[in-house]
Order: sequence, then structure tokens, then C-alpha cells
Amino acid sequence: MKRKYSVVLASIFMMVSCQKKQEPITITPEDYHGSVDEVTQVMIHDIFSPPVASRIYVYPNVAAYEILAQQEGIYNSLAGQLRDLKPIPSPGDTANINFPLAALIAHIDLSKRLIFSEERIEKYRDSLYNLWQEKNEKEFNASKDYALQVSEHIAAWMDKDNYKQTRTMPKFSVNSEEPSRWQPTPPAYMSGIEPHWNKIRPFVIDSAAQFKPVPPPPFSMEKESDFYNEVMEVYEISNKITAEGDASEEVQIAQFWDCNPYVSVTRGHLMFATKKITPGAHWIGIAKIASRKSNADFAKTVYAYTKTSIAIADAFISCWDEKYRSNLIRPETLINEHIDDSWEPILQTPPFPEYTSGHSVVSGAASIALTSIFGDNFAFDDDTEVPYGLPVRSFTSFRQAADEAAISRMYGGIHYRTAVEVGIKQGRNLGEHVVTNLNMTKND
Amino acid sequence: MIFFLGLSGCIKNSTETLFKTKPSTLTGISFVNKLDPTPDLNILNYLYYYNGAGVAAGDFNNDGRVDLYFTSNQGSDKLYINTGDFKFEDVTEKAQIKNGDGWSTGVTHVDINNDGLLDIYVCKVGDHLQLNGQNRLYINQGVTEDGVPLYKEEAAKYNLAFIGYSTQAAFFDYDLDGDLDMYLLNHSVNPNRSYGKGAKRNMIDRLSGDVLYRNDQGTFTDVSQEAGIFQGSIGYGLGLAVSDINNDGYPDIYVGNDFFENDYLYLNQKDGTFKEVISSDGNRLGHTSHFSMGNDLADINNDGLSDILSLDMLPEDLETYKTSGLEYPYPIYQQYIKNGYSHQFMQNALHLNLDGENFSEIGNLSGIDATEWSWGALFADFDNDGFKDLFISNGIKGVTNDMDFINYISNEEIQRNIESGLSDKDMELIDRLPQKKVPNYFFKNEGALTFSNVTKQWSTEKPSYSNGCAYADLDNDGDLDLVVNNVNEEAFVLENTTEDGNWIKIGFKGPDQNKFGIGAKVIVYRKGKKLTQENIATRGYLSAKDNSLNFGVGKDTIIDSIQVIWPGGAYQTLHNVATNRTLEAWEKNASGNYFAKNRKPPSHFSTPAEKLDFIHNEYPALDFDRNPLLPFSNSNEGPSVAVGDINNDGLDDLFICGAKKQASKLYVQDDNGVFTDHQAELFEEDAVNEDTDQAFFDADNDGDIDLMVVSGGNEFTQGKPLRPRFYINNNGIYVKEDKFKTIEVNASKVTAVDFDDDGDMDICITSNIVPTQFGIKSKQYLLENDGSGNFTEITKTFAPDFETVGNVKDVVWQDLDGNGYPDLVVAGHWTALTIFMNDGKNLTKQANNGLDKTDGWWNCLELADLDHDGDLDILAGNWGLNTKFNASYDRPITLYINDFDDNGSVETVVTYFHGDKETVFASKDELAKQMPFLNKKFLYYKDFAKASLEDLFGSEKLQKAKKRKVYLLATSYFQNDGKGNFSHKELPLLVQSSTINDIHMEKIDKERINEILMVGNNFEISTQLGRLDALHGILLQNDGKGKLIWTQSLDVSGAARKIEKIMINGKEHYIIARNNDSPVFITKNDTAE
Repeated sequence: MKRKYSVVLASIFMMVSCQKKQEPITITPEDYHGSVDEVTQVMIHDIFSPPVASRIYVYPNVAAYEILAQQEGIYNSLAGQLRDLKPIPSPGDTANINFPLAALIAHIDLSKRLIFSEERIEKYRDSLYNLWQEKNEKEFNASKDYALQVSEHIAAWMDKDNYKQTRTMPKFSVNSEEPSRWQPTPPAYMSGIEPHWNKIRPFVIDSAAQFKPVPPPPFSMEKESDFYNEVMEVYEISNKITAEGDASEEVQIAQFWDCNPYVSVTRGHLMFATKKITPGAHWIGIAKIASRKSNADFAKTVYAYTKTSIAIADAFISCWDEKYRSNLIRPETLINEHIDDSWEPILQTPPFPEYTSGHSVVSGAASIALTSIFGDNFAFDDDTEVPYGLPVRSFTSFRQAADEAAISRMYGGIHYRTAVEVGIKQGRNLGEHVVTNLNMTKND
Repeated sequence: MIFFLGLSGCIKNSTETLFKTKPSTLTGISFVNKLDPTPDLNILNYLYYYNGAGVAAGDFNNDGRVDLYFTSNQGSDKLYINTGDFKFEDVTEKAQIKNGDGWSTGVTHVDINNDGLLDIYVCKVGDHLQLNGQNRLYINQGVTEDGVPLYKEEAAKYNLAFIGYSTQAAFFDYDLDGDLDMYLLNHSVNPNRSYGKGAKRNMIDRLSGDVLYRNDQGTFTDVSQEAGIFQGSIGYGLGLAVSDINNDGYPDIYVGNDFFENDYLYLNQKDGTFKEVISSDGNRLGHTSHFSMGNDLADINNDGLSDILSLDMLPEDLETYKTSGLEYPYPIYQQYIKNGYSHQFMQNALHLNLDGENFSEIGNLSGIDATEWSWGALFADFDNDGFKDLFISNGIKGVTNDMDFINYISNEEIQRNIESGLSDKDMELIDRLPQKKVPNYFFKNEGALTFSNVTKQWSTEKPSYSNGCAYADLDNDGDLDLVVNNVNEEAFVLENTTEDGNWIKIGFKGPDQNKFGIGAKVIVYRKGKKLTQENIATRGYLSAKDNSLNFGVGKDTIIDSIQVIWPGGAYQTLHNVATNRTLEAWEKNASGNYFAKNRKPPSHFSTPAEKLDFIHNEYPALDFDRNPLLPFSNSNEGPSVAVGDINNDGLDDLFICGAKKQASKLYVQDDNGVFTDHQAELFEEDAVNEDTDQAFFDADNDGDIDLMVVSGGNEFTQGKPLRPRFYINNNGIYVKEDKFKTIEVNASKVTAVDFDDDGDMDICITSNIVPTQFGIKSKQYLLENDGSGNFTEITKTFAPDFETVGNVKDVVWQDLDGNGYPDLVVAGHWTALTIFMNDGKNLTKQANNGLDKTDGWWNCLELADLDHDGDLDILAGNWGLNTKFNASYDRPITLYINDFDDNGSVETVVTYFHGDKETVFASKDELAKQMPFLNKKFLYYKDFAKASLEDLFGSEKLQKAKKRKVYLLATSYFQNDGKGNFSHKELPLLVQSSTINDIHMEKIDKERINEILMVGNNFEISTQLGRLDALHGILLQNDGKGKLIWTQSLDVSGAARKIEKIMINGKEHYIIARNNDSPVFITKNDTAE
């Protein structure tokens, strides 16, 4: 009894003596990169299709950005600029609020709402919370309270973007009687992904169809027709570079930009999946590289992520609008049916219609956004795919990287040339529209 | 456990099981099929690495005891000689068998050189990676003094040294020329990335295509192509069995193919060629197993016809099921079928042989559809009660369809490692594959097409990875023991300890070229029962049995008679045979031709040539695109057909419904029985409608029949395509009158009836659904005739309870209480059979009549005095009992309708009971696509599988949901006790093999006994339920006391919707209308009367 008493006493003493001096919490751009990377990792684990992944990136970034825009500085709020976004609650007494910290907390909190594996984010979050709490409890609590208020505000806005409603809408109807119509592709034969993504509320563009591309060449498997020639081009390039081997530049390019979140592998009874980042995530990765290389401060880093992710999100809405308008069949289906039944594309065909190329549209839009932030001819070494066993590739500009991403889809055997060429144009036009219409910095 | 000892009545210790494992210390059989994956050879580069090996049972040294030959994948094959009393001696070396160089698969035996000594044929995998085996033929050189057979490998001499990917071989005389030919089953090794085209089966792949060898005076000639054998690269042959399926005296072949490719049922055409049934007429067998593994052909119901069992990998355990890869969703599955494949589903498929041509797949109905990852099937009468029981070997070291492994555990490293070659270190990846070590299954045949799981009572339930298996009477005590080849574990030798049933064993002494009597059939007749077996060695999986046949005969001590029928038809009959002994049948004692004498009994019906140029052309069902959570579609309703004399010429004319974008048609019959399309343009106007029913009746009392047509089919939600149409008859010419401008109804049926007994025909229109709103009650209609053909809706006042009764599929109007007003009986989905009594002013729902709690998925009903006691009984067609759905009042199927994810639109969640657990029907993938919050709660399949309904959806959402129930799924006969109380009576089990869509009752026979015709099937159901295609039409005969006896199938396959009687050329016919197919006419044969 006595013994127990003294233990309690000792622990009280310990606590008192452990009370550390409170110091300001410093949040660096690396902290933000860390949070974005964590979300990316969880997304890979949880498996999200590319359009859905773009939605998961954009809302947390907007939340973080809006908090930073509350401060005096060069950044303008996006309220009134993004569709239906109302001004976030004002911070009131700002005495103890650390805005970068609040931005980071809002980013984590909103991300947690969007992914599936909440406990992973919670674990990440709690380890940071402990750290910050220890450093400066007052500052942490004030920043956190504000961050969660803002997160709630952004979540309410997000909940009205029609995402939930599109879950119950009809699935894509397969109809193989129509020879030009998209069909599920080997090996998983997944249903068409997100046929109603054009009903998701856009951010800057006025409608999903604002950058509606020209239609693809008329479907025809008559020899010498434009369409047939495009099919043959995919087949022949694929054969040529396959013969040259994995070291060939084109194969390297195709694999570098694969960005497929779920590649299904079937070996007889054995099935498994290889999972990578999405096209959007790759460009988010490039935003990180550029931020770091240009020594961007915390606010500029968040600004870069936010602008890029807005461009990417609108790009997916625009692209998916066209995909389920033209419903065009993939090269793999046609080549197997008409030309070579054992042909396999170098990349696995993703489960949605062909036209236009999603990676092209997204790369076009993201490259414009990044150019508007970091300037043209911004050279960088892209190591985004290193964790997935791919090499570093170097680019002289975002524009060049986007061009390569676009053509990679043809090398990969999953897109015709028109989808790539029209796609990147569609993306660039959309990107220009986004950067022109968004007034994010005082210099804009 | 006295359960299985009922016959003798003696009581054994409860821990004793029917089969006792004999330890290797006693038997001397220490054989293990040991698998040690190496970087050079493993599951990642040989897809059948874990498929196991076989065992052949046979008397190799002619000492009267059955010996055993085990094959080994990576070690040496072993030959064990039976020295009596379950002791065996490994004589592999002494016998000079050297087969240790890798990858033996199947094994069988044959006396190929006709010296009276058993030779051994071993299949191997060659020409794959470092495997370079070629198939072996060990010729028995004679037996040494100490009983060891000496063997010499001579495959090449016989031209049977095949090099490729062999699975198993079977010897039998397909051309009845007296010598034994060989079918070689091979498997493809190419990873099946895409399902490709079924037409690839017509190409030839020399390594993986099957081969039929004809025995030409001792050398074997490949006759595959001329015989019509598929040899394509898409054949992943894992199962092989031989039997005379159609009892024509010529052996037929069943081949089970893994993955996308169909199974093959080769029917011997008696001219050296085979016709493959499944690819040429998919309706005969309906669906087959999808990932077919081992199979067996045997007569399970003692009707003299061989039935077909093909094994698959459907788990019985619910959690395993929910964590496994499932069938494609419906829309994707349809694409796969369009690529040239037949219908296949992941389940053990038991095809009950109805008449040698038509089969009913009753795996679920009989209780044996789900036995985990299954390899070998053996039908044999283990308890000697006269019915063949079933043993199934199962288990696999590397389970590769675990969805958590696929999605979350496996990672890109695996992929990269395969591409760049595996190192020893990378082999750890293989260890991470989930394993499924489970007990083998034992089923007891209960005698009426059902099997009960007696694994607990008959075995020690030892978990294992079991593959090849064979039965044999190892201790010559008259019951069948079992031998099982296991991966990484000693082979099982299981002694059968049954002492209850008497038995008879038949050995064979055949002619010079077939000394062991391969292909001989034995029929044991006992008190009206007919036990049949055929002597084919290759059986089970990769395995073979010995050349004798063992029959259990229960308590009989004398067998009425035994017939032995030899290949070619010569036969011998033995009468009053004493039991519990072994007989040797000698071919030289046989004579005559059994097959000339015993032809198939004539059918009651024949099928005249096509009489209508009409093919119902159903629009592809989009229901599952709109709502992937549905158990079945509602857009495949038609066609209905009606018969009437439209021009008063005394001849039956007919109207048949067209599907969406297809006009309905009216056909007029002429004096020669020819039907001519009548007023086609009139119905063309409304071609867009999916017409679902019609009624001929005299609306205006002018003495001719007018026509009313209703539409529905869940194709339109509103507008003209849902408006009933009326056609007035002017001297045989119809004119459309727009009488129903205000009514839009997705109709199931229209009936003309004078429900107010005022001398004119009123109308009842029923509705089965609110379009696109699954499970929401739809409004029903009553329309009163003013006497001159003008109709007013009076449902609300006349029959308010009927208006909201549910989702009605069929009604019958008949005066049940003799008050002069027709009463109404209703059948529908999510709806109880309901009687409304009519007093001329109101329809009042009758309560407490024994029909409450009959909520079902009813499709049709009829009233008749089935038991001839003067009152009307009910016969109603339901969903049936041949899917994984079962329902009772305590364990119903429930539909919960609520906005579970608060997105403004409702979800339809169907649950059912698996054992004691209510579980959601739709797959995790489908549910989470509709309701992503489920992935937040349960991302991993194993967690989802364990979650309760409340865990998934929250108890409040479930409580507040609209609920619909199903308590009864069986097609049912309700007997009226004369006071209006109905009690449920059993129907023959086969009636429950599919959904019954229409019933026709007739007094056909001269004896004035009621005959009942039933038609059905439903193809557009969730792929998790398979396909309801087991029905080929049913004729039931009434014994006059209300017992309905299954008599025969009608030989009408397809999705039948409606059967109507029609006189053609003065002769009674029935027209059976089929969805997405042509109508069929059948007529009663004079000869059958």
C-alpha cells in the first residue's frame, strides 16, 4: 500500500519535471511534401481509379491553401473562384494560430476523409500531433481547432460535388454489336470506370464539355481508312519497339509513364496486382520536385500543389466527358479481333474508353499549371517513379515532359495517335483556361 | 454415431468412423508427393505446380489382391504390392520401374499386349521449362516367384510415347472393333491472360491438345482430327471420364477443362467420330463447372443412365467464399459468352441424365455444389446400401484466388521477379500464398437425388492437400476402401469398416483383345431398382480403379438378377444370385445384342417441325447495369402466347408477344394447319413495346373475340410503351382503339373476367414491378366493362387490398365459394399467394387459410382438383431450390430498400441465410462501388466477410429500410381440405431444379388422370446465382389421389415462359413460348398411349 503510493508520487513528480519549455512550431515545405506523399501511399494501397484519385488530391490542397490565404501575403482566396466555394470561416483570434500548421492539419484531416484506410493516416497524424503538442500545446490546439473548422467547411462543399450521387448511377452498358463501342479488356475485364465523372462538379471550367475535343476519326476497319491506319500504327510501333527490347527508348518511355494504379496479373491459377501511382499523382510528384528545386517556401509549395491539382481534377472531368461520349474501343480489342489474336500491348489497357487519352489531357493541363508557377524551360530530373522500379528521366521543361507522357500511351499500345495529339491539346487549352481564370497571387 | 448404421441397428462407439486411416507403419505405404518449389520450377512458372498426382489400383501380379501405383510430381513413382491384411511392399526397384525424373501426373492401367498381365500407362509433363518427360508405358513382363511384376518401358513401340503436357489417359474400345483405344487428356500451360476466342478450340496444339489414339493391331494411330476431337491451346484438361452416356452401346467421353474453355461431352456417333454436345447445343447440359477439375460418370439415381459430376472450387465456407475471386459480373460475363464459350459457373456441376440427351444440373439441389478446391470425385456405394455415395478429394497448397492477396498482399516485387527470374531468396514470396488445407468430403446418397454431408461421420476430417484418389476392396471383404495421393503428406489408406450391407463383386474374363473386360456394363436388378456400373479403369482424378465392380445391395441376400453386357452388346443374365461373394463374368458365356433389344422407351411427345416464322428477340438485359446489386433481371418477361379463333372458322389462331423493338404477331391457321402472319402492319405500329401478355375476349358482346395487349418488361419508365392496347374485332380484322389513354402500367398479365357477374367481360391487369424500382410494390388494376366495351377503373373501390397486394405475376379467377362471383388468387414476387373472395361488391383478402407466410418469387399458378376430393387445390410455380438461396419463415430472403449512403437514391440490399447467418447477397466489389463507405469500414475482404449486416449498414438504416421477404422458394402444391384451408404437399424434387414459369393442367389420358405440364428456366440472373437452365419441361402424372409423379422431360430446353394448348389440323398440340428463342410445338404421340 505504501509502495503504491510512492509510485504515484514518483510519477507525478516525473510529469512535472518533464514539462518542457514551449517553443514555436516550425512547419517546413518538407512537412507538406510528407503529408502529400503519405496520402499517395495510402491511395496506392487502397486502390483508387485515376479520376477518383484526382479528387482525393484536390480538396485537401484547397483546404490548406485557403488557410494560408487568410494571412496577409501574396495569395488570394479561391472562394468565389472555384465553383460554389464559399469563404472559409475566419480565424478570429489569430494570436496562437500557426497558419502553416493549420494548413497541414487540414490537409491531413481532409485526406483522411477521402481515402479508405483511415487508420494509416491516423497513425501518421498522431505521431505528428504528439510532436507538436509537446513543442507547443497552445499553438497546436489553436491551429488544430481552426484547421478542423476549415476542414469541415471544405468537406461540406466537397459533399455537394455529386460524387456520392454518381455511385448509384447506371454502369456502362457493354454492347459488342456496335463494333466501335468500348469493351472491357484483358486480363481482368473490368467494367468501365466512372462513366458519370462528367457529372462531378468542375472547379474552374464552366462545364465538363467546355473543352470538348473534335471527334476521333470515323470508325472503320476498312483498309486504308484513317482509323484503320491508326490501329495499324499502334500495332506496328508496338511490334517494332518490342523487338528492340526493353532498353529501347520508346519502351522506356511507355513504362515510365504507365501510372496505372491497378495492373492485374494472371498466371493460370495465380492472380495478383501490381499497383503504381496514377497519372495525376505523377504530376503531383513533379510539383514536389519543382517546389523543392526552386526552394519554394511553404505557401508557394501549397500554392503549386493546389493549382496543379485543380488543373488535374478539371482535366479528368473534361477527359471523362469525352471518353463516355465517344465510347471508343481500345486498340487491344481491335487488334486481337482483326489483326493478331495473340498481341498484347506493352502496358496493360486501362478499364475505360480510349478517346481522348487521359494521361495526355492531364499532362497537358498540369504542365500549363506548373509552367505558370515555375516558368517555362524549367529543367528537372523526374525521380517520381523510382520507388516503382523505374529510372530517373530528365526533362528540359514541363511542356516536354507532357509531350513525352502523351506519346508514351501510343508506345504503350493503349492509345491511337489522335487520342494522344488531341488529348494533349485539350489538356493545354483547359490548363490555359484554369491559369487565366484563377487569380491566386497578387501578381496574377 | 448411429446415423449411418440405421440398417443394422447396432450401435458403434461414437468416435468410430466408417473409414479408418491405416497408418504407414502398418501399411508400409510411406509414399509422399513431396513438392519443393525451386526458382526453376514453381507455381509462378508452371500453373499446375500444385495440382498433385494420382494413384492406380489394380492387381498387377495377378494374386487376387489389389496393388497400388502412385505417381509423383518431383520424386519417384512407387509401386506397392498388396501382401494382404493392409500390408504393402514397395517393389518399385525390384519391378524395374524407374520413373523418378520428374512430373508424373495421371496413371492408368491396361493389358495392352493381351497377355493377361496389367501394364501401366503414366502421363507426364514434357517440353516445359526443364521438364522433359515423355509418357511411359510399362509392359508387364511377368511375375517373379515372390510375386513381383517385372516391367519394361515400351511406350515408343506402341506409338504412345507422347511428349507434351499430359494429364491422364483412358483405355476403352470406342469403335467396338474389339481392341482397346486410348484417349489422352492434355493441358495447356500458357498463362491465360485473355479469354480469347472459343473458336481456338478448332486449332491444333501438339503439346496441349488432347489426342484420341486408335488401336490398329497393336500400334496406336492419332485419329483426333478425323474423329472430331478438339485439340486447341485453350483446353486446360484436368478431368477425363468414359461412359456410355446415351445407352447406345458406344462409349462416350467427358472432358473437364479448367478456366475459360468449355467442358467437352463427346457423344460417340458409332462411325468412328464424336459429336461434342456442349459447344454444338448448349441447352442440353445447360451450364457446366467453370474451373473444371476432376469428374466422374456414374448412375446416381439407379435409373440406368450415367450422370455427370464435374468438380470446381466453390467454397462451402461463407467467409472463404466472400474472400475469393467470383464470377464476372453479369455484363462482363455476357461478353465472355459472346466470344464463343458455353455457360460455366464456379460450382460442382451434377448433370442428372434425364433421357440420354437432356440433363438437369442439380449440384445445388442435391447438396454437393460447394466442396472447396476440389480435385477427385468418386461415386461408389461405400455403405453397401445400394446407392452410390460420393468421395471428393480437395485442398491446395497455394491458393491463388484470395482477393486480399491479389489486391493488398501481393506486390509488384512478385511481378518483377517473375520477369527477371526467381532467385532462392525470392521463393519466400511463394510461401506467402494463402494455403487451403481442408478435410476431404464424404457424401451419403440419400436415395432421392440428394446427398448428405457425412464427412464427420465417415472420416476423421484430417485436413490435407489431397489430389488423386481411387477406391478398391484392398482387403477383399466386400466393401470399398480408399487410397488418396497427398501433397507433402503420406498417402491416405482408408479402410472401409462397413458391415451392414450385403454385396456382390463382379470380375471379368474377356475376349483375347480385352481380357479384363474394359467397357463391360453390369446391371444388378433388385426389387425394381437397377444398379448400374461400367468397368472403366480411369476414374477420379489422375487415377484408376481396379478391374472389378462392387455392388452393395443392402439387406438383400438374393439378387433378383444380374446382367453383364459386353462391348458390342453380347450379354448374359444370371438369376437369383446369392450375395457376399465374387463372380467372374466370362465373355464367352454372353450372346445376343442387348442394345438391339433394349431401346430407349418412346417419349410421350414428339416435336413437329417449326410452324411459325417467329423468333422472340430479347433486348440485352440492362438491369444489372442499372443496379448491379440485383439477384435477377425483370426485363426478360415474354413472350406470352394466346390461342383463339379470331375469324370463327373453327380453327385455332394464335397471338404471340414480341420483345422490345419487335412487333407482336397474330397468326391465322388454315385448313391445312398452316399458320399465316395476319395484319402484321397493325402490330408493327407498337413494335417498340415489350409486350408481355394478351387476352382474347369478346369485349362488346358481338360474338367475336377482341384482343387486348399489355406491355412492360422493365424497359420503359413511362409513356406510350406502357399503355395497354385494345383491338376490336370486325369480322376477323382487328382495328386498334385507344381506350386506355390514362393508364400506364408495367404489366405482367391481362385477364378478361366478368368479376361483377353483369354479363360482360371486365378486365384485370396485373403489374410485377414499378419500372427500374426493384422491390417497390406496383399498382394492380381492375377495369369494369359498361357492357359495350368501355372500361372504367374501379380498383380502389372494388379491391383496395388487391391494388397494393405486391408485385403480381399471375392471377386466376375462379368461384371458390359457389356464390356465383369469381374469386381471385394471386401469385407474385416478394408476395404471398393470396386469395381475394368476391361478393360482387368487393374483393376481400382471405386470412388464416394456410397461405400466409408463403411470400415467394412466384411466377404462375393454377387451380384444380388435384386430389379428386371435390375442391380446388393450388399448384404454383416458384423460383425453385437449385440456387444458393434457401428460404423459410425463420430464415427468409430479405430485401432492404433504403438510402444507405445518403446520396438521395435508394440501394436494394438482398440478404439470405447461409446456415444460421444472415448475409448480404451482392459481392463486396459491387456493394462498395455503390456505397464507397463500405470500403472505409471494411477495406479487406476478410474483414468484410466477417462483418454482420449491422456492422455493414448500421442497425438504424436496416430497421428503417423498407423490407420485402421471401419465405418459400419451392414450386408448391397446396392441398385444400375442403374447408378452404391449404396445406403444403411435396412435389417430385426435380420440379425444384429450376424456376417454373407456367403450368398447364390436362386430363390427357383415357384413364382421365390429370397430367400436368410445367415449363420454366430463367437465364438473366446474377452470375453469383448461376443460370436456371436445368429444366427441359416436365410431365407429371397424377395418381388420382393427388400424388404427382415425375414422368418424363418434354425435351424442350431454353427459357420457356408460357405453354398453351392448341388444336392443329384437328390434333392436340402444345405451343411453348421461349424467351429470346423460337416457340416450340409438341404433340402427344399415339404410340405412347
